[in-house]
Amino acid sequence: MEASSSRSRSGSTTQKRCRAVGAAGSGLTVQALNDDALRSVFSCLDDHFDLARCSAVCSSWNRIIKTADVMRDLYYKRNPQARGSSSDISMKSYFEELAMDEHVSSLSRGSAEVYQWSGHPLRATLCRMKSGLILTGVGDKILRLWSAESCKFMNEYNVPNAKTLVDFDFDENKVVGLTSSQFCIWRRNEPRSIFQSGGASFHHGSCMSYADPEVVIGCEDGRAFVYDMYSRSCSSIFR
Amino acid sequence: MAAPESGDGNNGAARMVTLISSDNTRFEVEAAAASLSQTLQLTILDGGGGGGDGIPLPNVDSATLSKVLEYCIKHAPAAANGGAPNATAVDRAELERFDNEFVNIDQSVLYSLIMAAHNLEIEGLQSLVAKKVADMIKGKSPMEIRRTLGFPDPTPEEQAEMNAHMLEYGWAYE
Repeated sequence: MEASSSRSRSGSTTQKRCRAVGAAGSGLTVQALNDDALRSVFSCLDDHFDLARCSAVCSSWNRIIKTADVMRDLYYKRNPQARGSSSDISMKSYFEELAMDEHVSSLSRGSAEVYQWSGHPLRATLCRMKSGLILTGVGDKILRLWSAESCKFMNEYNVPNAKTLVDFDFDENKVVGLTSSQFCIWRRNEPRSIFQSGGASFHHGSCMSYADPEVVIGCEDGRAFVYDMYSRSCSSIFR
Repeated sequence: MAAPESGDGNNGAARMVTLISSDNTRFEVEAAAASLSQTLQLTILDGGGGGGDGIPLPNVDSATLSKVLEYCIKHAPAAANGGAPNATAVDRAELERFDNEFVNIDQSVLYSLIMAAHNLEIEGLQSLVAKKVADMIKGKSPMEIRRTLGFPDPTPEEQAEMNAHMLEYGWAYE
């Protein structure tokens, strides 16, 4: 009863759009697969990196991977304890966590390459890393920016008025530094600061975080000051 | 070996059903084999497919159907005794060998099989073929995946989309 299996009856040029009705011999392409079929393929992948790369293959794959929550399903499959306890976790923090997990496991899996270089004449006690860049400082009068990939020096920023920095942060345009009673702003491509706050409004600042357009400064007395970077004024104080 | 049984029914007991492909080829198989398809199982339980009637499968062509039935006939005995319990290691190894061999086929046939397995709801075949495609994807960049699976070269517009999508999961490209 076996039918003759003449699989390549015609060329593979024509039937791109034929869905389930396509004949096996007439060149069904991968683009003829429907959502269900693709979902079954994606659910066989057990690596988030493969899924992430699949999502960039074409827009319909991207849509399916997003809407079908295959990423999340795989995350729960690999981390059963996470199910339920944090079901509302946003996609963004979920991916942050995922990237960190992958980072940690790749470090613990095999050998790591360690690069070491002299960045400051005095010991630098703080560094921040973002989008392939490392900013180092605290300990002397200067902040230095490095490429995380090549360890190359990229730029430096002078701390004005012989003050001592206690914390700093940066984004693609600006560097923001904190001394005990002031904060300073640098443009990423200039060594001299373009703005220093007028002191007096806070004392004993000990830490800061910066998310354009606001900078939040935590002080030793337990107060947090929120500054607007553009109006350069304190917009709120939290106790 | 294992040419699909031609349904001469030499044990006299096996019930046969007839399936008709989209291009009107008739296939006669044991009901037990056809019943691996959830879709067909219902019809067969209702007594359909026997005698001169046949069950039409307008979405499956004869080349694909013969391939699907090759799978069903091979897997029917194991499915009948509930899979693993009675199966010897040798039996299982043989099925595994068959499966590996079975998906060693042209991509266009593979894609037709995926669609047919979904249409007919044959669970084992669905996952076998899906896994084969997934294996072709693993460890590759988006562009390599496109090439491997036979996508056409991306238009500039599609290339821009790909770049944008790659930014969404930047950590996957380090």
